Amino acid sequence: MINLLNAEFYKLRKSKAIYIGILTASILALLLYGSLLLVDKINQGEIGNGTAGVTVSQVGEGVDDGGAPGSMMEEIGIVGVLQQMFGGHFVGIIAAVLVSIFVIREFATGAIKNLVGKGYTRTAIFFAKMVPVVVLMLVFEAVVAIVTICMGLPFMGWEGFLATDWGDVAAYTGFQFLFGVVVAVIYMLVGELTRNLAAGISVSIGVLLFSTTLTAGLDLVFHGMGFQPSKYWVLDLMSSCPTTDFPSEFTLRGVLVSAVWFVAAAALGALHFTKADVK
Amino acid sequence: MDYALRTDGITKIYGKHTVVDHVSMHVKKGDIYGFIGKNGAGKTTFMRIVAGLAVPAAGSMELFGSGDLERQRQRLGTLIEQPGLYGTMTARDNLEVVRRSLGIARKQAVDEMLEFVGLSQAGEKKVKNFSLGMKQRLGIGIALFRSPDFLILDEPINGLDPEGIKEVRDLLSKLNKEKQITILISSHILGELSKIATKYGIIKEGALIEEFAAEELKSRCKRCVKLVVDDAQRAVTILEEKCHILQYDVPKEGVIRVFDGLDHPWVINRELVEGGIQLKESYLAGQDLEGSFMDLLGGAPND
Repeated sequence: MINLLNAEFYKLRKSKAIYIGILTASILALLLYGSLLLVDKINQGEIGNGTAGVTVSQVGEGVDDGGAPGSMMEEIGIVGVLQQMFGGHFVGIIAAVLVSIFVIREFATGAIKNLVGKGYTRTAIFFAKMVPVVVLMLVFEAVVAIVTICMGLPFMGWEGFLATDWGDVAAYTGFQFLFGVVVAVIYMLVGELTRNLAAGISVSIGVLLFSTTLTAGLDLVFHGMGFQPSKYWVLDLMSSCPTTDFPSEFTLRGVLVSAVWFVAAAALGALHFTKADVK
Repeated sequence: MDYALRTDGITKIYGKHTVVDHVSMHVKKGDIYGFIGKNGAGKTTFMRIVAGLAVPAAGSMELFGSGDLERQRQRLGTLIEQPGLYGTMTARDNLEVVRRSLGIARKQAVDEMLEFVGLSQAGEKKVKNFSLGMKQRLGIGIALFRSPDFLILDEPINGLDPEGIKEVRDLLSKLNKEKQITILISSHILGELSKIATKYGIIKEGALIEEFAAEELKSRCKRCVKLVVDDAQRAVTILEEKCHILQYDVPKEGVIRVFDGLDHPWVINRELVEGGIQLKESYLAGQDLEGSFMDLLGGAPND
């Protein structure tokens, strides 16, 4: 198992796609701050909305360029930007691509044949792949969080930066790390089941974008019974995670739901890998 | 007898289609076993089962006389279908991944293997820029990395130029002779296979129809008079009684191959016609290897 992990982490280090993905997410964070700055400039009347054909709107409504006193950047704060990054699918979509590439290329290239039947159990091979996937997700989220926080300083200024509630930032980021790891293992399960790069990426992004719509539908179906399925789906927890005043009920539910989905996805993936032929 | 591989009734079914049908193969230690069959005959699937990549629906298997396959498979080196390579990595990195996964401590092993398969100059080149032949050689390098006792190679010379084919053939011969590595190899290039194989197995529609030694193949390829007649049984009686010919065989109904009396074939023809045999064809044939395989496979190879 140690040898397998050694090889997997070597592959991870050598994967250019990983570095490109992390860089892309970092640039997205920068762009997000840029958008907020633009909104603030319009709000403060420094730039007219619609100048050079650029119109900024917020949730379908035009941004007031009449010189509103408030700053959206300050209102949202660093934790709000983190929420946009993690809860708004930016991180999820890039992670879906990265995990799919890392997992499915073994099947796409046939390199998995260099491991299967070489004295290791298939379960060991699967879990040796899962460990770097989890580490990849944590590193990816950590870089995104660090970049987002650091970018806050030039965009918000020293005063705004210091006004941040770092406890909230730490708690929110911690939750996102937890949910992110579970989502990465779900992506890995999708990759193992599809074993096709295009299908794996598509299905993973589909799960990310549309599963919460499905759970919302289920919430309606079970409304009369007082049961809310979305409370037990990790992607719903990811997007609805509070950014302040974290209720203990959410913390407990978050940890339990994450544990259940983590174990379920890992067990299903390992079971399929153990039973299915390698082509 | 010492077998590197012995299977008994190995069967693989995909849906309603039996891809490998009760194959009982015997590969002795030290053999270079040529595994021959048309496309879709079941060669690759059978090799994948032996390598542990696919699970058989029925049958049993022993590697080196042991049923502990997981353990014995550590003694295998495999190259099945295309080599499993990471195109965006260099050749050196590809081998480094294998070195680490196999737990080989010596870092120099990577350079030694690159040298061994003739890729030392291309070690820093990305594999996606390799020619097919270079990829095959790197694939063979990966298969050889843990000094296996038994190599399983599926079409290893596919796509290689004549020089590359010769290199691979020489390499395999060397490994077999110097390191006593047993080799199970499939190929469509029968002429090349015949230069190294010591034993053959013919698979047709999933079933292993025949296993025979290289010497037997040579005897099958002897020069002969090939006769196509309406009644082979009566014709054979005439050959024995009138022409005193005892060296012949009947490879299939209505076809006789006569290995004796080749200097006066008209005598054979005359006696058969006078004996009331309808002689449809009579010609001198020096059956080559491909012809012999085609007889067994029942059609053009690789069709």
